[in-house]
Amino acid sequence: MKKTKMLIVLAIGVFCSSLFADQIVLKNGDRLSGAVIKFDAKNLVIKTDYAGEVTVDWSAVQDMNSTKSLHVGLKSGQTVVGPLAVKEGKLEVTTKDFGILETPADNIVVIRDDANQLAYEKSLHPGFGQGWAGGANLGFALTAGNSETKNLNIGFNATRTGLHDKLTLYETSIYATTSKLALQPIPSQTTANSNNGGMRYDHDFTPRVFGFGAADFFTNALQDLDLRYILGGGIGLHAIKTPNTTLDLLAGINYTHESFSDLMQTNPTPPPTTLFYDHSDSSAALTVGDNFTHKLGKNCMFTQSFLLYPSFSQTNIAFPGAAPDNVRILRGAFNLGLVTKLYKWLGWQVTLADVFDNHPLASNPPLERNDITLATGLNISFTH
Amino acid sequence: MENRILLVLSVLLAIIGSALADQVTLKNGDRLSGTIAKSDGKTLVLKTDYAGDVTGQFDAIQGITSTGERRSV
Repeated sequence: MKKTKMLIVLAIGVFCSSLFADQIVLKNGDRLSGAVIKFDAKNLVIKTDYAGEVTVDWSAVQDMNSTKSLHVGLKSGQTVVGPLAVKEGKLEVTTKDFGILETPADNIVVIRDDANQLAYEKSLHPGFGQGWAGGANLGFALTAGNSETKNLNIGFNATRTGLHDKLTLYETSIYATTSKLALQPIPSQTTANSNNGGMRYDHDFTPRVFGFGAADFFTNALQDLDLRYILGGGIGLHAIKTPNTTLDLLAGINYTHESFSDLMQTNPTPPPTTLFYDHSDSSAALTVGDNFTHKLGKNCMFTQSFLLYPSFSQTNIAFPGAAPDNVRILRGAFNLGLVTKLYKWLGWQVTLADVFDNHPLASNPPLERNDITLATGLNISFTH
Repeated sequence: MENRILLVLSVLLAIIGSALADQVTLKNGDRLSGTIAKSDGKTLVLKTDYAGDVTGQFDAIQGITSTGERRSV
């Protein structure tokens, strides 16, 4: 008798739990009960007691009903809230203030439960600390014994993407030293010491057109470059914007200032045999270029950017005391990158960068026009 | 206990004869159709056409039947 009572209580419990659960009936007659969490025009997610979250192909769904309120977004842009029923291709939402709303089920764009709706609304107005994604990469090489060298490259990038804007921060540093080379009587010296960092802010004016502002900073100890900064802005076009590929075209203007110290030149009237001098200049220039990203499969991302800065005016880059050497400076920066995901937060990164200057500052020995860097290392990604 | 043994046996038979489509009936009245991919006595993985692999708790299962239909490959 006691056992029978327990069975009855259990049966009532099961019946009640089904009664207060959302239900999906599929075209093949299957039925799933639980709590509908969301629908994104393709898949419906229902949380069941026995199998957790189950993602069901919407095309397999025949009927559906919810006992709790859901937020239903329609093709008209309207969002209605209430318990819903989908039957024979029709959607019925029992709203609190306007009674029952009926519309063809094809009009449903999105369905969210309270938690997902809250998360969605928050995503529309994220705080400054939210919506960030990016990564840091680290590469290190060391030799010891007959040759003693150290090579370190570190990089950081972070992008905060809002509904209509994007803020990007980036930084790259390379440092290398040689203290001993086999059979080469050379003193300990630094062979690379450069930093490049900056930020860019994009704001969409329309779905395709955006404005941008950018600030870039460079230092290079081996070129005696204390600081070069480029402040600019302009407009851009989202030429391609698909889930797998983006191409932005940019055009604008910028202001560049650079300062060097202790540049070396040969003294025409020694002693001393060499002279040191400082130099600084400023110029305005055009900014033209592109940013391209493409997903290669699930775990690989290819990036490319090219920015060209043709100067509006001429700049004197001659030695002090020498005849003015006014030239029109054309600078550029070209970057290629490939990140392959090895684990959720760990990837392998290869980058190729070229900083181009058609008239490097006068120096002895002369500076090269191109600074090319090929770096590879581990990439640690994050999202917040 | 007997019921549980019968259930485990039917799962084993379903896995062995996996060319057949299976229907899993749950204690709450729900029904899922597909092909039983594996079971370890605690969970059961059912490969469905509409939701991919669904991993359910074994305790929630009321019964399993084979429809006799050929599984589409």
